[in-house]
Amino acid sequence: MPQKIINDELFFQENGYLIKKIEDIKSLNYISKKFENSLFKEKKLRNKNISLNKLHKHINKISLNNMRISLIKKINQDHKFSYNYYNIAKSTLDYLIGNEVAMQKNINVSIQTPRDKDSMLSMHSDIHAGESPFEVVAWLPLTDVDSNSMSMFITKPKFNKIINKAVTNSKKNINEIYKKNKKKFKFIKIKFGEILIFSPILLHGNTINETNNTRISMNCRFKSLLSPYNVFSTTHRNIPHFFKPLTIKPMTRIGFNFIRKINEKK
Amino acid sequence: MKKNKVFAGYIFLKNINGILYPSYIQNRMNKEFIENHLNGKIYMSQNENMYSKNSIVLNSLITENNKIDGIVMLSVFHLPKQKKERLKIYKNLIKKKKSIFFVLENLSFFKKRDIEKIENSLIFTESFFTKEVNNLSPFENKIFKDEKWSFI
Repeated sequence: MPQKIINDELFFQENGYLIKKIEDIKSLNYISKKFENSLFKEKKLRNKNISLNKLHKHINKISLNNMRISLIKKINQDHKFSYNYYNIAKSTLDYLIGNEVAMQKNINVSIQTPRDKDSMLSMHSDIHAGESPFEVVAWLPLTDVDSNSMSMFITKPKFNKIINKAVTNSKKNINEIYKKNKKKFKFIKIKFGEILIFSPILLHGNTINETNNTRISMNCRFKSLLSPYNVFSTTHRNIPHFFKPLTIKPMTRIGFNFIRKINEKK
Repeated sequence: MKKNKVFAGYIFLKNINGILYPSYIQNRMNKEFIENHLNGKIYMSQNENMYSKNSIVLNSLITENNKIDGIVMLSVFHLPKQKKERLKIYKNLIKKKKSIFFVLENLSFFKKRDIEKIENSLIFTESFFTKEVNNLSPFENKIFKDEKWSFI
């Protein structure tokens, strides 16, 4: 195995995430261009030349969520968008989950304007909501994020074991548990042009944006097509609502058709 | 003025990945999709016959000369299991110039080229994907027991 992959593996094992420089710049350009084109077609922003991190100066908090939903709808209507999103993370995803992939049906958009309490996401693990522990989240910032801007926080696997016990057993509320364990979380520093890939088993969240810049990011989940979906509970969340098959390899098609044919003969 | 297209809601009391959506929920979801996503009008909602093997209601909605431009159903899980039956449905939809929409997968059928994406998503109806995993086999236990890779 190349040393680079061994290093990534060790880092992921210890930290539960990787931050990688995006190799497929063409795909990144497609994503950011499509996003900006969709954004600047929005009623209040039409024909304006705005830098993304100053978006808050042109839009009020009330219309922000409607705009976000409209953007999510627009980008997900474009099938090329999801392929490009996969491509920006492909080499790391190949290593983490394999190259036969199920991808989240809808890529999410997160917009955090300065001092907006409503877009705060408290400490959570996606797995607690019924998602598959076999998935990773690919989180793409469209604006730079400094670690001292207190944006996204995540804990390490060794701390997750302890904090998760508190979440599932203690009588304290989420915020109290977070505050008690605050030092066990790390704030992520990431630039536009990089991607964060992490296991959503790990507790994570974000805080109020206290900077003067809007933060915009996208997130999407990926898993091995052939890894389990319904783990401990059968939910609509994984199939068919959440994931779509992105790549199905020929031998998987041949194998499933083999089973089907044999069953038809019975 | 542009005329709104008319869609029928198709209801099937067959579970989707182990979850049974009651007919009134299916009806509401279909109606919401027709009105808000397709900007269309709901013509009616029809229940599939649970005791027939021929998807009689779905086939009738497609082949009869009715007012509808398309059909909305919750999921590809509600399509017939037999590929031959599905190919007949695609063929009749093209012939009758009708479309199908699947709410949960956000997929649609308009033309022959749409068949592949629908057929691909049907892989999830295999029991391999829908079975619930609650524990590991002795073999998996042996292979994957590794504290270094335990995040919880």
